[in-house]
Amino acid sequence: MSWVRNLRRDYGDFLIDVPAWEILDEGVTALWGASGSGKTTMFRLLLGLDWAEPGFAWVVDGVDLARLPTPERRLGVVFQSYELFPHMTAEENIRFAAEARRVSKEEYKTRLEELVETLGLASCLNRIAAVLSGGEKQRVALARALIAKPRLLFLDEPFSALDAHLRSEARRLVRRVLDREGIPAVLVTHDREDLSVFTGKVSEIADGRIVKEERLA
Amino acid sequence: MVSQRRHSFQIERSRVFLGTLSALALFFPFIVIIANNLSFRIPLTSEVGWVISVTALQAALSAIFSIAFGLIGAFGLLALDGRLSRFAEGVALLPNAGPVILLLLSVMKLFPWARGLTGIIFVHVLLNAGLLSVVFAEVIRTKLCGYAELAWVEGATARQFFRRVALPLLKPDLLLAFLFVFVLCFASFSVPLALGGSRASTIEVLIYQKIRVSGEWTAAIGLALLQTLTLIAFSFVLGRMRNETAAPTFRRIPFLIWKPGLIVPLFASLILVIGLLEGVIAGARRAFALPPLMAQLPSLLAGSVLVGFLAGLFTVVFLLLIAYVRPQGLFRKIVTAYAAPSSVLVGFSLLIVWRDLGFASYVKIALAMTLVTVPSFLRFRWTALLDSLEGQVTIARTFGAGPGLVFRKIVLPQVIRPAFFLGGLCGLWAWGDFSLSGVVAERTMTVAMAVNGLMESYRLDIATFLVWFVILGGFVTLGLFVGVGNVLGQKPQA
Amino acid sequence: MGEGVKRSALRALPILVALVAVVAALVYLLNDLKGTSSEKKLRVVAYSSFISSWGPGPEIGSRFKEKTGIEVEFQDGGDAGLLLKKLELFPADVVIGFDQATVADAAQARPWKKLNEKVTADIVGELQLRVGRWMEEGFVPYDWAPMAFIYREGEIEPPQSLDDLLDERFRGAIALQDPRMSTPGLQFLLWVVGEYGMDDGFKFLERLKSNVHSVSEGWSASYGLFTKRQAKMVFSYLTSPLYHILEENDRSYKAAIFRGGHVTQVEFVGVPESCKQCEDAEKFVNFMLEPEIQAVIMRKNFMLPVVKGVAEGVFAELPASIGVMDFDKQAELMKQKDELFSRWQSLGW
Repeated sequence: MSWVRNLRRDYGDFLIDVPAWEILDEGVTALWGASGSGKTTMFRLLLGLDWAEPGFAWVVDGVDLARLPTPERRLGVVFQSYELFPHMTAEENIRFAAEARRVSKEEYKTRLEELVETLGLASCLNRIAAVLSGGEKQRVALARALIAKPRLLFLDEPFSALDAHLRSEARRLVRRVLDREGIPAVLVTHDREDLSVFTGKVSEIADGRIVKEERLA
Repeated sequence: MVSQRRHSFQIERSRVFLGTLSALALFFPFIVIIANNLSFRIPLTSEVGWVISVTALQAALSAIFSIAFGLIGAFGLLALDGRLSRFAEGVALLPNAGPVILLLLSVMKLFPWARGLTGIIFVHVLLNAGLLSVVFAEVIRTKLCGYAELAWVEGATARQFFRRVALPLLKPDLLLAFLFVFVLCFASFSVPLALGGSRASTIEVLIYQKIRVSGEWTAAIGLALLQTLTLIAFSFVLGRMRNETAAPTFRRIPFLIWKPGLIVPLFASLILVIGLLEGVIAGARRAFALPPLMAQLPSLLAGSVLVGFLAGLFTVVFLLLIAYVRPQGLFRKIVTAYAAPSSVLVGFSLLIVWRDLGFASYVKIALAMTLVTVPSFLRFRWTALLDSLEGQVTIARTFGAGPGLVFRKIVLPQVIRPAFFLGGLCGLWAWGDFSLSGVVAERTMTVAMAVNGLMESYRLDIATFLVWFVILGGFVTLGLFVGVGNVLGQKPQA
Repeated sequence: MGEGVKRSALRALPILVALVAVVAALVYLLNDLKGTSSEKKLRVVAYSSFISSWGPGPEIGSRFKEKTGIEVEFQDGGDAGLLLKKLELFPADVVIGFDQATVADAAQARPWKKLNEKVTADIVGELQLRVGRWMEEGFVPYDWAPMAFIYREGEIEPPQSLDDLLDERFRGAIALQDPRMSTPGLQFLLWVVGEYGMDDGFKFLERLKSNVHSVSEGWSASYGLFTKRQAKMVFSYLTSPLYHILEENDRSYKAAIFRGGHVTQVEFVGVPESCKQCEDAEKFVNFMLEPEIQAVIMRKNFMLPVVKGVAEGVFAELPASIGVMDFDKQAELMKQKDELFSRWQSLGW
């Protein structure tokens, strides 16, 4: 397990203050809260997209991620809007992440095959990202985040951009992938429904503080 | 916090290095001139304060009207598709291509009422509305089409859509456009002088006078600094001007199409062409009766080709350098607000550091054009374009991509076409420039310089004839740059 | 497949065309420049229309080489203020193009060679009197012209004095130049202020405003407005009609002759102390005063020769007298140029 310690940042009009927070080694650690509760800010601080105040530590397997710049933290991420590179095909999007993490060609090939199968990407692999449907985009974004076997997968409201009838299917898919890959995930959401299929724990955030923790069945 | 910052600092060393480099290049004229003279003096007289306020009023009004008509023109351009729209956009850029005096002559002839402040604003709108139409059309295509479809399906009226959706979404672009035109008009002096009635004094006039007539360089440099600082302060007042994400697909947009709007971008060009057609035959005849000019024409044309091409190329390189750097924070603000000093100073700064003559002069003209033009491109289009890629860059970085990879795979493919378009635009303007060229070059080296020289020796008609070469050459250059950008921006088929 | 290849070849066309155009331009220019790189050359700086291919410069250069074997290289110096600054960076042997208003700045900015006396022997006596002071400083006049209002015959009844300019019939007719940026513009301002005095001069200009068509930043813009028939009258050189006679065979352009005389513009050439080919430079200045070269300058610059007996044909017909205002008085007024300019500006053109 890994612990986040002394995560603090005073923005003047808003304060993130998390003295200690555990991220599980297995399953999902969910960060749940209303909009404006600070969950996205905390997410960005953990990714290193914004800087936290001194004293912040986050040791995973003996490495303090807090001391590493973003690219070296080896995290996978799926943003709410997916942020696929619109000028590339789905496959190129995934390959980009592999190249960025210096995954060897052979390994990339086997990983891609696995992910294409798990996520059902075969039909959209060679299409330009800009023309993919919402569900396809999400699956490509997942594959892209997982291709280089990240330490942790960060999911920022991954289901909110999908139509309601696609959501439950998408949740089950993410659950299946996480189980299969054995990669722990941090899931940020405002929708309690999102947590229905996952195991792990949920931390409720309000006003920049963790106010309540529960286990997920 | 310190260690965090240092880390990201180290990892992006190349960005910091190239950022410093591009800032040095950008501020190069100021650095050289101040280092060389070691002194400047801001002549803060009541005259200067008064001039600034009058100039600001004139420039602000010109900018507001240019934007209004630019929007209408954009609605017109959006009504056309494909090749026809390209053609119309090309025509819309025409008024920027030649010497302003030619447009002025046409305006005075066709619109005798256009004098004084009204006249100044009228001509400034003619000069800028076409360019703005092209830019707004592009922005609307990339930014609004998704929302337009949504609103259309939901049964909104065009008016509702315009007021509730389009205007708020376009606000940052409109502010940028305002700043762009404001800066241009702030520095314009031939228009206010010729149309009069406005107590035509811009800071540019003062600088010009200090340098050319009085030779008071310390005061001129001080004024140039003051002008730049005014503009920077001004754009800080306008506040943050970030652009939201752009939707990259282009379908036809249901709203914001209004064919009559086409009149705006075509009007100014029409006026110019009417003016240029008058006496062009006589001009051609007299040109052929002037053997030394005809003998010189091939080398003038070659010079213009070279200068136009190099100016475009340097602009592309500079813009791509900035795209690699992706300026942030204060640097970004300054880059966005910076306006090159008076063209005389830019030209002179190049002369100071590079004294070779002959062939080097062509390169110097092109460099000077780039230094003068790039700041407005950065302010108007480039930083906004880079902003729209920030989301993708962020995600690429969390995947561990370094700045090199981010640039090659994410940024470059998405900015190369606009880079070449802006390069082509700089090339077009380089074809038409004579004032900056006149400072840098040691003799008449381009067609535009010859146009000016001819006007200075009574031969306006021959100049009118040669302007056609300038316009054609400028547009061929622009077309070639757009073409090359399309080729390089093309994805190789998998 | 074949179509795909064809299409991609078509797409590469812009690159190809651009490359060909640029390479052709490069080759042409490099070839063009190659011929001009010989060692011992006389570097002459002048303003652009003097050295343009259709101006007097090239012909003077080639005749000078014919006579002396010395090659002349012309360089564009730009306006006076810029030219003086450029001289610091690019040393020159001869500098052409100061007028009586800017020659004082030039004398102050750097040292100039005192020229051999024989240079000055043939200059029109009256002119010599006027510019004697500058000749002592090393500046030699090479052409001159009175300044006058130019009109088209039959279009307007010409004025006969400065006071006449205020007449109703000139409402919105007169194209002027801004004195802050243009030498003719400065001449007009000095003329008015010299004639009426500072306060009354600006009162005169205030009254003149309704008759002014436009104030341009330079002579060429205002003259363009005049030839394109936007303005009915322009402040220019008394010699301007000669261009239209000689080049356009149009005799309708006339200079309005004022009863009290005209202000005059004299152009000077000088040799900076920093010259490299000083002897040749002096030869060149002498050469500029030779009758046949004076004729070249007269015909191509449309200005009057400074040497006696050269003016012929239409040039000799001009009622040219050497001006109403002595240059010392002008120089005196120029000391107050800040006031002149700021009062000019507050007129609100």
